[in-house]
Amino acid sequence: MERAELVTAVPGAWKRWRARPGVALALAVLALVISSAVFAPFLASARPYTLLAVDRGAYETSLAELEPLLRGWNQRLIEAAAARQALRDDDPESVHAAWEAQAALAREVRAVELRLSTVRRHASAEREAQVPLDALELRLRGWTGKVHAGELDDLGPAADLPSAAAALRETHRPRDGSGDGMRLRLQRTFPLFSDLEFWEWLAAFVWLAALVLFVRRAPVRRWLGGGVLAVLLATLCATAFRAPSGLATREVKLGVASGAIELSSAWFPPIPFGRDETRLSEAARPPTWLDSAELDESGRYVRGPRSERAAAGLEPAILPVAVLPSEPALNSPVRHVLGTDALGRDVLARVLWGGRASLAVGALAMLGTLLLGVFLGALAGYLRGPLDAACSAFVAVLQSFPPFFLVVTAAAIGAERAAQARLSPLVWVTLVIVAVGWTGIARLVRAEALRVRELDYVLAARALGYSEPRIFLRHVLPNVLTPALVAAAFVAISAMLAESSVSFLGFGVRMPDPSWGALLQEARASSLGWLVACPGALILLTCLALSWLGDAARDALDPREGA
Amino acid sequence: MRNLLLRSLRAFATLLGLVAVAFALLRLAPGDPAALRFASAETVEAGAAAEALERFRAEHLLDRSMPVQFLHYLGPFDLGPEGHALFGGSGARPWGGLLAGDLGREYLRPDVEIGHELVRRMSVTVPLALLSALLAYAVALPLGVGQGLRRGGAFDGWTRALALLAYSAPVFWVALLLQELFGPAGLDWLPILGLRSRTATSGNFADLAAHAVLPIACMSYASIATISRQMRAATAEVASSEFVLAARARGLPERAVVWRHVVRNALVPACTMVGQVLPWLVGGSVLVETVFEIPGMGKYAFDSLQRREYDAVAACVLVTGVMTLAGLALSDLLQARLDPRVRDGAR
Repeated sequence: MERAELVTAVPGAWKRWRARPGVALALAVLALVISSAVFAPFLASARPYTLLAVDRGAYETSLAELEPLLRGWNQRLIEAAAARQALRDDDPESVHAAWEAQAALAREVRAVELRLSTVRRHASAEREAQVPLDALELRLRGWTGKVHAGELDDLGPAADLPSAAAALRETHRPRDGSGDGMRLRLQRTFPLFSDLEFWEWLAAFVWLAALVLFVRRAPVRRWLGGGVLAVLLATLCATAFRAPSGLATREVKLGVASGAIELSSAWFPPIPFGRDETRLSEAARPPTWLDSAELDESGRYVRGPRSERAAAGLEPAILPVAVLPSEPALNSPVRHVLGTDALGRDVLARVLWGGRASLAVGALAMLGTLLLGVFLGALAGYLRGPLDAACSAFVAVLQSFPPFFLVVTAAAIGAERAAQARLSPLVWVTLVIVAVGWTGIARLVRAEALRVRELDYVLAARALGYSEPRIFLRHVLPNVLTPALVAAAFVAISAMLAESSVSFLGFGVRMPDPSWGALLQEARASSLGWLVACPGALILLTCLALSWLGDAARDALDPREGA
Repeated sequence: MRNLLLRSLRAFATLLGLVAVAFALLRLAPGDPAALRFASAETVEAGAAAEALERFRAEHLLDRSMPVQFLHYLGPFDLGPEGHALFGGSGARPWGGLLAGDLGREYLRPDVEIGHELVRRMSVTVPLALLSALLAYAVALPLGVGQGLRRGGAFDGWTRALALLAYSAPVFWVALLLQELFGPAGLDWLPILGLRSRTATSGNFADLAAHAVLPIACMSYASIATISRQMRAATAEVASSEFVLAARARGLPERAVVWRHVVRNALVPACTMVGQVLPWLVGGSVLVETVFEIPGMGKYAFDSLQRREYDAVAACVLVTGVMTLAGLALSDLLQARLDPRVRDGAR
């Protein structure tokens, strides 16, 4: 009966778990690591939160491209007319051609609309500035409407459109140095936020809600409410910050540096370097708080082994480092706190972003393993019979491989087929880890279910005439969860270690996506010490916090360790 | 007797399952081996390539149904066109497949027999794994006993924290750090790649030992954490049992209680773990051998994965699987030898 007490002792165990030494610290560390991964786009990005600027480059390109686009449009119109004529002549080959011509025309129309909207957004609000634009749009509207509706038959050639665009280009010249031309409107945009996808917003809000609810010790109902609120907020943000249609995809820092963007004000993230922002002139720079990282104006190292090698003529060509707007000064200690890699990418930014992949695999694999293992194990233990036999045989086979070896080979061999099926490598690795890892949990839970099914309350439920599914779901399943929950932390650890190992061997997350393991692979290839230290230390820190929590949970549930 | 029969039957079914998993792994690869082979071969003429591909497919039964392919893979009959006369072959090559001891050849280097290569690689990996296991046990057993006897003390707390640290550290990262630290970039104490210096003669033991230090350290530290945990739990459990209390009550000296009663009984579960630890070490050798460039089985598996020699990969998986099964059997055997309850119960 000692074991039976364990199940009912869960509330007490929870309190004991929280009170064990180091648990609060481990929880805080884990929360910090997960937060840094969830909020990585807000912490490290080359794009500003908000930008008040004139995107002169986008405006000029759009204006310049209108004329050739409309010329091409005219050509498409002629082709479409020819294709429709062939169709009318009952040429069976022409169906496809006509369809293609229509699709090409629709694309052309879309491109023109995009450029027009960009021009309109930037052009000055003065009345006379709008008149030629309105006129051109009016001329176009009839055409675009018919193209979108597929009524191509009553469209004639549009020979005069390109000249109208050329005239627009003349009247809408942006203001130059002499003060001539049109004054452009200042735009406020949110480049960083409009880059985020729905699931990134969702992760951010769900994590925020979880943090708040955990600290406030909220009951289940409030957790549900928090989840719903998070989904709502994520949807709201994802739609509100949708990327503005147009050509505003230019890299902001480069645009400002080259003068294509006239900056009024901008607010950059604390680490203004993007995940994949390469800077060859700063390749393989040591952490900038070290003396050996100091550079002079021409990009030459002042001290340390690099300067000696450069003096001996062993360094590759020296390029002057361009300090782009918003970036810390050349020798500021916070410029590249953790140094840069062989392509000049900021290591801190990559480590933050890499945590997303590693932690996502860890969390998802843990969830999948627990779900599959608990459900199958409980079902097998409760039902016995052929399902149990089949399940046990399967588990026996899978458990007679070294699990890590099986994960690596399956992940590597199946990677290409997964790519063909449009699965991201992350999802594939997660699936493999779950497929190999559920057996351990299933064995634990099955043993527990074998015990629970003989207990009196199950007998009582059966005597009351409850249906088998109800007994299983309401009475057996909740009572076999304990061993699985205790093992959860260790499942997450082995999943994270497996992912990082697979990525380290080069069979997991592919370039240029970072994960901690993939970063270590790059580090090994380039043999720069500061690249090795950080990602591995973060894996270690996360796994250590998790194993501390898991160990504390084991102790808290162990009656002999009660003292 | 019936028990034994049942067990061997179950072991046989599990072995069959192992083969099935290896076969399924092979089928996970995109396309088939024929396409892989002829995609990379230099064939002058497209027609000749297509013909060679067809011939290759027929030879390796890639155009037959899955069950036939599985039976062909399993052996011992070769079901191909030149296979056993029973199955419509010409009888030139009647035996083949796993049960005939034939693991096939590599596709891109047809002169390499996978079986021979595996044996060669295993002769590197297995001694390394054995030494690592030995080291792990040598450290973990005293550690676990010490922890278990003084549970909750300072020594227990610190060493347990260290064990958690070891458990959480990714082995390839530790290997990289050790390379940085002891390699030419750091202290320059130990060689960091391979198992033999280019200049060393084959019998140079000191050279071999210097090369093996870091890999063995990397392979063993995680097992130290697991084994010492097991030993600690067992020691604590035995130490609180009634017969130890009785021994103390009889006035036995503390040393005799610990050695003769506690440690001897607590050793059983830790010793039976060796069956799990060894295959674990062999499986983990992929990482360690890749980082240290040791020409063992793990490196062979890694290279084969990179070269898409999936037959070789499947063979590696199979061998580690069989080793794990053998390890489990060894565990049972040890358990039976060491634990009189099991030993006598089986009679």
